[in-house]
Amino acid sequence: MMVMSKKESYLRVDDGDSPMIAEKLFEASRQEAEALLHEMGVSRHGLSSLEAANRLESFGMNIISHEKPDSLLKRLLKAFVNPFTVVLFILALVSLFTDVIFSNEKNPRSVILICSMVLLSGMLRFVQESRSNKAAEKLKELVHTTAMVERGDEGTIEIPLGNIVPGDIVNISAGDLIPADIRLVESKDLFINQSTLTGESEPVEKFHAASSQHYSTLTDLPNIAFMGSYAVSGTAVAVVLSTGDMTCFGSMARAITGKHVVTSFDKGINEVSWVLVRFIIFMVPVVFFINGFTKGNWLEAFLFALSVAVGITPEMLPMIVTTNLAKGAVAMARKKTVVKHLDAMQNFGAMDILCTDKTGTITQNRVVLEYHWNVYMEDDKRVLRHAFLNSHFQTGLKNLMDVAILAHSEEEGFEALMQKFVKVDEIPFDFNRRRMSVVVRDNTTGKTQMITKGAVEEMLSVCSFAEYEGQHEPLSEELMIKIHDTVDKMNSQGMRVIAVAQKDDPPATGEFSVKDENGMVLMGYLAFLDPPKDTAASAIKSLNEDGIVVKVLTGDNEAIARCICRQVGMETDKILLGSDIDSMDEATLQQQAAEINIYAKLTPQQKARIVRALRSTDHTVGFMGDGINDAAAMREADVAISVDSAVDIAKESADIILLEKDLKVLGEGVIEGRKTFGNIIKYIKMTASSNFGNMFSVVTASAFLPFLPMLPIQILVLNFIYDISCTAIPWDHMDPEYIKKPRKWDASSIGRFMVWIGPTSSVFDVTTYIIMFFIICPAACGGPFGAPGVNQVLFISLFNAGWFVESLWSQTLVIHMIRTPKIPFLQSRAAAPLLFLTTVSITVGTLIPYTSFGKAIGMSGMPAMYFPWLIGMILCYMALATFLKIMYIRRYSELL
Amino acid sequence: MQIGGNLITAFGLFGVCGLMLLALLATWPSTKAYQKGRNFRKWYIFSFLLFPVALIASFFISSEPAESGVKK
Repeated sequence: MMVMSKKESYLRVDDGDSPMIAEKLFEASRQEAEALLHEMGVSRHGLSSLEAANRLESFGMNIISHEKPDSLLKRLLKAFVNPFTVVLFILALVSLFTDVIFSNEKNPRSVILICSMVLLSGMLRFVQESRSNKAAEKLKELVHTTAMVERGDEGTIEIPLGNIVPGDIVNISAGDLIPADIRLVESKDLFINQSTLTGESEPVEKFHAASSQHYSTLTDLPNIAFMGSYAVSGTAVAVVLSTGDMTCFGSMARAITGKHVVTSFDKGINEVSWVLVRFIIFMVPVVFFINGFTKGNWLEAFLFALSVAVGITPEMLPMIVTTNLAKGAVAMARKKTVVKHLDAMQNFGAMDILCTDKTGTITQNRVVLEYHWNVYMEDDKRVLRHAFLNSHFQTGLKNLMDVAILAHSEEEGFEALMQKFVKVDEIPFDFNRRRMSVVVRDNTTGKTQMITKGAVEEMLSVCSFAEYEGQHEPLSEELMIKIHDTVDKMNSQGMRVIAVAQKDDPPATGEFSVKDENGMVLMGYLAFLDPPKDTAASAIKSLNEDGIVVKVLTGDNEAIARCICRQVGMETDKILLGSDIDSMDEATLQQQAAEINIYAKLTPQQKARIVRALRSTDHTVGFMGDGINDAAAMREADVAISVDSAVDIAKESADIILLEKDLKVLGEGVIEGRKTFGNIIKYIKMTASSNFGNMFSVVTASAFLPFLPMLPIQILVLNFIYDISCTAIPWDHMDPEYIKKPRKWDASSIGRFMVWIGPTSSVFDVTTYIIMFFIICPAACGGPFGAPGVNQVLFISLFNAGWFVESLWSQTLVIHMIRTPKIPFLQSRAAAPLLFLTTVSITVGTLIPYTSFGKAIGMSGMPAMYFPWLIGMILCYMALATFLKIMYIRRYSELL
Repeated sequence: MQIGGNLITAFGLFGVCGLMLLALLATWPSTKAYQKGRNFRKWYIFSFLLFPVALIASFFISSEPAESGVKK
């Protein structure tokens, strides 16, 4: 999502950054449609496929630069340029000067070794991140957004948005995304929502006529629609003026690339990174000066301080987070859940309120026409026939009821009507008046009639008469009451009812508009049934058990909402209506929204207001929707969920797309989200606490030891081995108890975890110093440090090796300690990849001091007497860590 | 154990190790007292300074209603 703070300036005429784009759009707005088409080398039938292919080659794909994946070179640079490799490089340079250039022995072994480590760590990061990015890209391909274009030789075809080229003739209808910057050549009551560009949520009407007026702002142009906006209602045919980066939206995006909206997840990661950076800022000078003054070797003190800084830097954090998210996204895709924005996965797992529409989520999404009655509740084919003409000729978004009417009409053999009638005009649907009209002419009689269908209340407000057996009678109070009673009765049985009305020979002057919908004759109503899904009740129960409260937000009326929700086991005593919400202030709504789970007769704005109210009371709110009326609420939600069959704008607004509109599928996805979040937080907490502990150990060693406890290169090797074992964390599983609850990002919990658990390892680091310095090294070297005849080089190299191995064991085993509140290995075992990698790391690390590689980096093999001490220390360490873990859980009621 | 002339090192390492261990163990009485409705921070300082006394006291104090923001 891009930051739009600069948007206004990009849309102004006097802006200097995109004058060509602006000028082109102003020019196109002034021109007559036919002249513009001629200039662009296209007819109203569109480009030929060949010409479109040529233009695609010349202009490129209709994609904005920031959406394109990084180039190979950029990815390589990102993998190789990080604090870890930079310090290794500095060490390699120092080694080159001291061991090769200015040394008589000319031993390049250390340089080769350090360069190999740079290569290895960089490649590991590159491969892992490339795989993750590839997985994420593949997932995106599962969700297509398309547009309808005219291609001369092929007629009207549906193509991916990316394949649209300048000159294409596109058809726009309600719910469609505007695929590029376009100039309207035909339009009918077209309302466009330009909030992405202007921030204004009210839709604006656009027309196709050429404009001679002067406008100072591009988005005010009445006949130009912009990429990034969408059609709320109406229809249009337009010619594409520019695509990709050459669009107005593209120029804005290009200018502010990289400035992403900071999510709570990003914030959390940043906070942790900053805590560690502060440690580094504090640690490096302290360690440098203490070692410099006490040991006298300032270059070595500098390199040591630098290596300690690298050791504390969580350089693998980006890779671990990316791999975790990508792996989680792939696992979710297997469960029919596509994650469009990887960062949203954490919010998905943290979601504790799910707002959803009713149709298709709780109901079967198979709307069947049950009755077509006249006003006296008798079957009447005329009602169905008029409804058929309305549904057939309307060009807006065909909803499920239109589909049901058309399917039913097929059985009745109404196809002949398609030839008999011709469409004159159309007044599209909108969510405020909740009805739509078509005007048709009978070819045989020449009679014109307006046919309107829509929500019963809104229809009654424009009807003055009722029709029964061909006769019109005034719509009396008595008849109105009868109609309301009938509709209420049907609604309480879970049926959706719409009314059908008509008006003969409406005034034909000019184009028809909403004002013409008056004095109509009510013909009757249609009742539809969309029964609840068999799985809905169990899915809602299961979501409740997983800590997610389901709230139904529907545009349908109270009676239907109550009936359907009751059938799926929801509490239906309290229902809040859209009209109630309008009369509430924010505080009252927040309080009501927390208690009430069913909302009916809502407009899109009211849905968005409810989501906002819930979010403001510290809930993580998900919104699942598939229509235009859901887009506003989806944008307000922490996590927007849609389905593959949704309208473009709903898919575009969504963070997560379900390939099957089912709450059960959603529930499985949530669990995957929690697992992913758990694994990320696991790495962060163990790294933060481990680094915090190391800080104490290093400061203590610098202050009290007469030599460095570990050489800079040894710290880096240790860090490298530990990082490799951490790469298996994304493959680990979480305890079932952990994934039962929504998990919210809480940066303060990381800080306190670090302070509680971190010093545990320091106690054993210092214990290792004591054992190595006063017991093992003196035994192996023949006396205490500094005593005459004691080999000090061997003493130091043994000491270094002893702490290297203990440190690796404790750092690696803490992964198993922290990953679960249970007793590790006995009550909860890590996944096989993590078990394998940590075992390999410990084994390799323990063997290193005995190899020539170990000797090359300044270590000596420890004597056999070291290992009983090591095992004893590790067992004590695990016991103390378990003790601290228990205390921590008692204090904070959680571990991760 | 061979200390030789490294008295400062010995004093420093043993001292730091002991203090850190005490800091960790002090969480025991303070957590216990916290579960009985007492202020964790105050009890932690008390435990750090007088660990044996705090430990015994934490077992014998009675439960109090939780302070605001303190879970029992």
